[in-house]
Amino acid sequence: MSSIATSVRKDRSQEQQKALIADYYRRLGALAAAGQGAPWTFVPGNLTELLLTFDLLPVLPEINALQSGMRKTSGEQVLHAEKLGHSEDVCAYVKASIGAWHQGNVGPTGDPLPKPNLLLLSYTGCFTFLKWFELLRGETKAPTVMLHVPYQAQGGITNEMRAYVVKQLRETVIPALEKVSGKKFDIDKLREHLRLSALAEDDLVRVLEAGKHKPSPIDGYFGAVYYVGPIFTAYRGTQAAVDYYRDTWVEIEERIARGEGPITPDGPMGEQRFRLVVEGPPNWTHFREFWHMFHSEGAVAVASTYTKVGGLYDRGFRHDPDRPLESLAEYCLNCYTNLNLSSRVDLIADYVRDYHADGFVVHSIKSCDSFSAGQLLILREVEKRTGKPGAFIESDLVDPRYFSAANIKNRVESYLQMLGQKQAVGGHA
Amino acid sequence: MRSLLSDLGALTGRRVTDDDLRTSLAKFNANRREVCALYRLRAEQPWQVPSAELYALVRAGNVLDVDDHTAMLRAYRATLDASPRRPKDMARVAVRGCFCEQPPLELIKTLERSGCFIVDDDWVLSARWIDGDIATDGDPLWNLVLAFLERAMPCPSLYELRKERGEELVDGVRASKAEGVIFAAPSFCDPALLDQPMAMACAKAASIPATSFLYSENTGQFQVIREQAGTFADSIRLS
Ligand code: SF4
Repeated sequence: MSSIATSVRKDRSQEQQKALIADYYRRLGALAAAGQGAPWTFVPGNLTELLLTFDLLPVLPEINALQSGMRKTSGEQVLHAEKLGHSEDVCAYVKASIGAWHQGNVGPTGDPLPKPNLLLLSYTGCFTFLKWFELLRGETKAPTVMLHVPYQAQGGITNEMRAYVVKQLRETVIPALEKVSGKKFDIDKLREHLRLSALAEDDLVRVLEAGKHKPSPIDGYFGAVYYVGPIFTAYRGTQAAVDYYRDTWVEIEERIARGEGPITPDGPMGEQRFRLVVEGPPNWTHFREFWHMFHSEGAVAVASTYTKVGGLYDRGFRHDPDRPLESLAEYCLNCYTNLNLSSRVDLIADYVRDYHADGFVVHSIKSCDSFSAGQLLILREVEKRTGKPGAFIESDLVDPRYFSAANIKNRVESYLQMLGQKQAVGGHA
Repeated sequence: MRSLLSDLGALTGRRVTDDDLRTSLAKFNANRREVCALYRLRAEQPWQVPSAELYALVRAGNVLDVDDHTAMLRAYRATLDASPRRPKDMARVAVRGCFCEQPPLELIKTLERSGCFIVDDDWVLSARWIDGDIATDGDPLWNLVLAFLERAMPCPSLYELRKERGEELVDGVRASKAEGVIFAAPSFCDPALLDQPMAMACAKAASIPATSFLYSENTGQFQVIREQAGTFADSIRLS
């Protein structure tokens, strides 16, 4: 990546985001140093407000894996897990987390991680979650609590589904958290966290929907990964998140007023020739290189589905202090990972239309069978519905062996060339 | 379950009564009893019930009417009783990891030809999914729900609460008196592949010899598998 400058000009929000994430890992490190444990859980369907109510700080193995990917340490972790007998073909996040556990349970920033005092298995559509926590249970011997969230197979949430999740929260999850923390459940404290969540969510939606402007002041995929960082980790339901999203929105409003585009790792983005919607998570091991392939050609992501795996706030959902457990249940039920294929198609097609995109890109993850299954069908269906061409790219999340830079670059360039030709002929793609 | 039943009713144009369900439960109970009896016989006298035959027979139940299938299983059993086969000495193995993508028949024949008696497996699990009969009195849907929740076979695709992963493998090996385990997972089957390290670790902790390979449903080349399984069988017999 020698051609890519490592640091040119950064957003204020990016600096703030980095500080928040660093502080999160410092706090986890302090817990570990004090010999204390922490609940481990997943980003989709996370119950951060509930954990904070018990003064618990979650460890999120996916975040650890992706942060390790960005810092180029995940490859070693994956190989370590394979040496222990884990298959090459399974989710690389799982292997990164197993490898990291065996390599001393140190987090991506070098701070030690607390051991799990509870594995809070919020199951929201990805089957691998079940196996992942069975594996971690075997490794760590931590108690496990499962929150079974019914899949939105029919494309909606019924009262029975909501009541089923609430019942589990009441009867299983809350008692387990009381036991682990030694604290009684305080519903008013939960309400306060939920109130703060909703405030942050309002501003996050403003930030992400700024992609509708022309030029787009944000990159709604690569750049937005930074924006969703705090709310995906342990900050939902905190004043720090409210402040961060307020400041970020102010920063983006200023950029809109100046007619500026996003700041990329190489500096402010120039002319925006192509507006794209992106489906699928990014590759983390070559994140900047991957982004460079797009912005250097004038392609900006105006919206993405990955930035919604931690919550579909732009579709109207908000945590609600007046319906605390019900809204937590709805949050889990509404996760992007819990949507069926036709709901995913609806969402992407809506984004293409609402964000005035010229096309869309499906970034398919080799080792993420849960999410990748059906993506070709999604591609065809979205093309049919929107009349916009799609591109299909494959690599991996945190396994550097599957990022074939030359192939991906070729694919991206020829797709953008095709969009360019369409624009030349028809005025727009 | 009730909405599933009413959706099926709408699809087929037939309203299903509780009595219809009870009759069906009884038929599948009888079928499961026959399947399990053949599995038990194979574990006791594997030379009598070659796994390739058992697998084809049980798998046929996926497409046959349940009564016809039960009759077929009984007829097979009667044939075995009428003309017993000669005992042989081969390595007794349990095969694991197959989940929903069923192995090609040739793979099973290959394992048998390589010198293995397969005395336990996890193929066509749906035919034995529930341990024991499902009650036919009372509310049939409730009985079905309870059976699925409380008496389902351990399987990689089911979240395991009752035991540590792999314990059921050790139990199965002990019950069938298997001398080793062959993990034969379909490539790209996440549940089976993610399960394997846990099951392997359990087998190791219980000093059960184990080997593993991957297959896909359209695998056509079995030479390598035959050699690997043959070496494994030899190592068991010589130990
Ligand atoms: S959604 Fe994909 S990446 Fe995430 S845990 Fe599931 S298989 Fe792994």
